[in-house]
Amino acid sequence: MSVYIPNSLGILKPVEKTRVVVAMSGGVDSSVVAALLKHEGYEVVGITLQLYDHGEAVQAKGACCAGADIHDARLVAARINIPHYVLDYETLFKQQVMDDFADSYLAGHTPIPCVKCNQTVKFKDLLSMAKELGADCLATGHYVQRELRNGYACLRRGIDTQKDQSYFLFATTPEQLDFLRFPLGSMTKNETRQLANRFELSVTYKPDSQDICFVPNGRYGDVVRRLRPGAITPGIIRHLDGRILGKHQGVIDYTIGQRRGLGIGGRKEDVEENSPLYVVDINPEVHEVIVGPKSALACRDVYLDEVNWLLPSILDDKKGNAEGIEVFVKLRNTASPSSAKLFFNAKHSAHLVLENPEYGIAKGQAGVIYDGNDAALMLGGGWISSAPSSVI
Amino acid sequence: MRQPIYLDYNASAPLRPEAAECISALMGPARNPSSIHSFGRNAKQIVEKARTQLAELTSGNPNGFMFTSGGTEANNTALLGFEKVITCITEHDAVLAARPDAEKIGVGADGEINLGELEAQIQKAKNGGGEIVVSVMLVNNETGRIQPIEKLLEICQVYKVVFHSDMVQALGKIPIHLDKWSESGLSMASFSAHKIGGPPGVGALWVTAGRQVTQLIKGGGQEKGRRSGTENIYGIAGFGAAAKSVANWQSHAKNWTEWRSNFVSKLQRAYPEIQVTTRDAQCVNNTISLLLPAIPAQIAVMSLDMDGFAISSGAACSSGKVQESHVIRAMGFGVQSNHVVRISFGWENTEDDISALADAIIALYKRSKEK
Repeated sequence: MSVYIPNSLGILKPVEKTRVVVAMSGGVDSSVVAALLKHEGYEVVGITLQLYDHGEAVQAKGACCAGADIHDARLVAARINIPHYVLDYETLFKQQVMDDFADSYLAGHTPIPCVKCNQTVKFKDLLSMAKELGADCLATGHYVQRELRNGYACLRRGIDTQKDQSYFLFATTPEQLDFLRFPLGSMTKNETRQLANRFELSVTYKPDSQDICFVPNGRYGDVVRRLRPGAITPGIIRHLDGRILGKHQGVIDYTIGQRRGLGIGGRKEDVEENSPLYVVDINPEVHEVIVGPKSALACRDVYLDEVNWLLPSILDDKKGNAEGIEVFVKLRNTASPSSAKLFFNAKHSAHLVLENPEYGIAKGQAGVIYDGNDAALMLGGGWISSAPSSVI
Repeated sequence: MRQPIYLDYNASAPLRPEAAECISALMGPARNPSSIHSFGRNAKQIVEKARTQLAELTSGNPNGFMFTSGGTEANNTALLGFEKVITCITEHDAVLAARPDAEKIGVGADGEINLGELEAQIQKAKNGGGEIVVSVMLVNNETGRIQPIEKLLEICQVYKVVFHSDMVQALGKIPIHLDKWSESGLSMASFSAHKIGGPPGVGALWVTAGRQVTQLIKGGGQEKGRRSGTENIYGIAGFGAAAKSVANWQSHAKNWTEWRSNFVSKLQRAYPEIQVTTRDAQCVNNTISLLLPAIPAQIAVMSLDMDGFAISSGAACSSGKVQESHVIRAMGFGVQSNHVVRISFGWENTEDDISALADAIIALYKRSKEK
């Protein structure tokens, strides 16, 4: 019987007998993952999910049902000579990601559909499909590092802190993580592009995607209106002090912390009011948008629910600590981790007390928690269920 | 690794050697059939020869054929200009998408069009006025199911409505009698070259004498004013050669019925739950629509592709995405519609190919059941 040492993906098989499904979006990152693994000799199978009708999303009549990204993924697969399949996930994506996105905005929250997509479509359905195809693992182009601690897979932030995508992966379960691989976690974006160039991939200079994939022009309000026609009610914009300042066409057009485009003007006579106003609260039941000064956005207490713990053992050790556990927390993807104390409410909910107040924390966003001694090591995360203002 | 085995003839057949020879022999000189000079006359002859070859295969008047860019264009042209279209729910997208306003008649569990429903719809449409066309395919591309053309013609004659049939998947597989059917009321029929070993990108619409078609593509008035644009002469010649070559592989095709039943028996001995969706209904003998209850169709298609077998599930969209079949769903398979694959073979296949596919499906099934 042959004895193998683990290959570069940590699997006890020779590379040529290791079947890897690569989730190919058509972007440069996942394309490089596929090319790299193929170059190493793995049996690579590319899968691209058609998640939504591209023509409908960009409102271009007669556009092909598959967008340019799917076309790019096919070109790359042909270039590196791997089998590649495009799967129709439109219905699933609509049910599990887009509907939730719309309902979340209607409830006055600010959703992160990318997390829902990872949670459901990618790491549940695609992952189980990869298993059914006899794959040994599923690789993606996320900038996040997977490492083993005492035999358990856990996540670290990507080496390239500008590109780190750990925030979007907080909901990954240990079972999913077992089967997942992120070959770009230890690379910078620049290195990825260099590799793409070396492999002569047509997507080498393709710009990074900026928006939510099904909201290509950033106008999410249009998408919500299309998904939930008739569900959007106009209402009033009220100042924290009770005054009515204007009207709005629907709470979905506002997010907590928003300053621009509030649609209220003519406050010049009021000197005190000349400081900018921000959306500080949204009241979907009465269709009210509440505005106030920046100070009203300050927040020190953040409550999370549906918390997923990636390293539950570490937390077990300190559970008795009544003074809270020192952690780092990210309350939005673009923020750098900040210091906080973590208290447990129950197994899947948590209370964070921030060392310094943060401004504009929105319900529906995620709170992702990193180790207090090692800011790159992800402990887990959850959805922000409430973040009361520390001044009101 | 051995060469992959191709078992997706209903999607596209390999080019017949006769067609390849014919096309390569023509390549070179300028050939515009509309030109006055000798080159033009020569080109015209090539087109007319192909028309005759196609007519011989289909027992139809050669003048009835207008060449198109394929079956899709033929179907689109056929359905233009009618006030009302009545079709079948299991038609190809080339019909369903050409006339999204069409009334769609359901099918029975074995895929046969519901004739009572058809009659009722025609009666209803007759009350509204305007010209009505009934369009029903002769052979279904996904299941191989043969629709009862004689009965369909009878109904259409009784109500005096125009009848069109997409015969793309019937050509070469079952006898076609255009002239005879025309006497019973057939007005138009669509064909495609690459399903019988001609080149892709060429097809034909046959139109009965005296019937006008509405031009889809306007311009220089080629094809007797029915379809403009310089004729795809290589494609058309290859189509004709492929039509003529059908006789060369007919004896080979006689074995397929037996291969088909051996294949199904082998699978059912291993896993009795595996079924043919069309059961015992009349089907062309190269097509098997197979229900694999334990394996989603897309998993089966992808896994078998990696194992070196080319089969399909449903009709392929241009993006190549794997999607659920509207045909199988219409037959009442419900959630199991996602578990049906299509195997369609042809002249290059041997019984060993089909037997090897059965082994691969059994192995895949076993792996799936063990999970």
